[in-house]
Amino acid sequence: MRISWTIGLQSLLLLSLQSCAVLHRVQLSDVENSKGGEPLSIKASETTVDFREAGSILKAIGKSKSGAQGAGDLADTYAALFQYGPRTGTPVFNDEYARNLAQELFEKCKGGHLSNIISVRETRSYPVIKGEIVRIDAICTERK
Amino acid sequence: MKRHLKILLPSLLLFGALNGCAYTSAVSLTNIPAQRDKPVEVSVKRWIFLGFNFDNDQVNEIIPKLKEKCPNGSVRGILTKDLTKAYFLAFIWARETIAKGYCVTSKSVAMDEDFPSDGTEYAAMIEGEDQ
Repeated sequence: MRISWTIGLQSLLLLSLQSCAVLHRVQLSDVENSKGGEPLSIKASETTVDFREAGSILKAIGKSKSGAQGAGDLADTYAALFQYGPRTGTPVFNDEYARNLAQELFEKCKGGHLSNIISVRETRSYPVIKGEIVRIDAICTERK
Repeated sequence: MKRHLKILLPSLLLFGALNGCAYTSAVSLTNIPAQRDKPVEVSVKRWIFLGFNFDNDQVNEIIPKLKEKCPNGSVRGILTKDLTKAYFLAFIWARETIAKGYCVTSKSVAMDEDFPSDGTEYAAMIEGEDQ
């Protein structure tokens, strides 16, 4: 009996540590077929909390009028009041996390030509915790 | 009547299961070239069961696939469509990215050795060509 509990808990832990990848958008630039060039990849990410999901989990585990139910209601109310409107992924608390991506690209390819740019907007999704990611892959070719 | 129902119901179920609802997540377009005689199209797809998807590496295949279709040129005017298709009660999803463009065989302007690095020089060059 104790062994089955241990296996159950370990499986639960393993499942909660696994993340799902959610793809939101892909955008391509023109594709050059020039030889050479160095591939580069930059990424900006922001960790956030999904209050709706937290609210649902708390409500599911808590009995009526329990603390967990109250916390679940509070999380739901917070999400309804402050996180309404259209969104891509989960709302984050820092809206500038992807602001320096272009600058980083320039710095990684100083004086070079950036081509074959692919911009990916995705989310790493753990239970309640989400990682909102912007990734840009490109080819940097030095000018002759 | 019963016999007809026995055929009709499974057929309807099968039809429903094979049909999917499509959602467009994003569309983007790059500059369209004048040379549009060689259209190229590639797509990458990922099947997702019950929402379990552990990476989005399929998108990394788009550019090599486009290069393969246009080995001696560059692909311009790329229309990228991001689609999600949900099949049978959304148990199975297909995440698809389609890229359509035009294979242009002329030399890349940006990589041209004679292409001036300064924007003002380039503007002057264009102005000179017009006169």
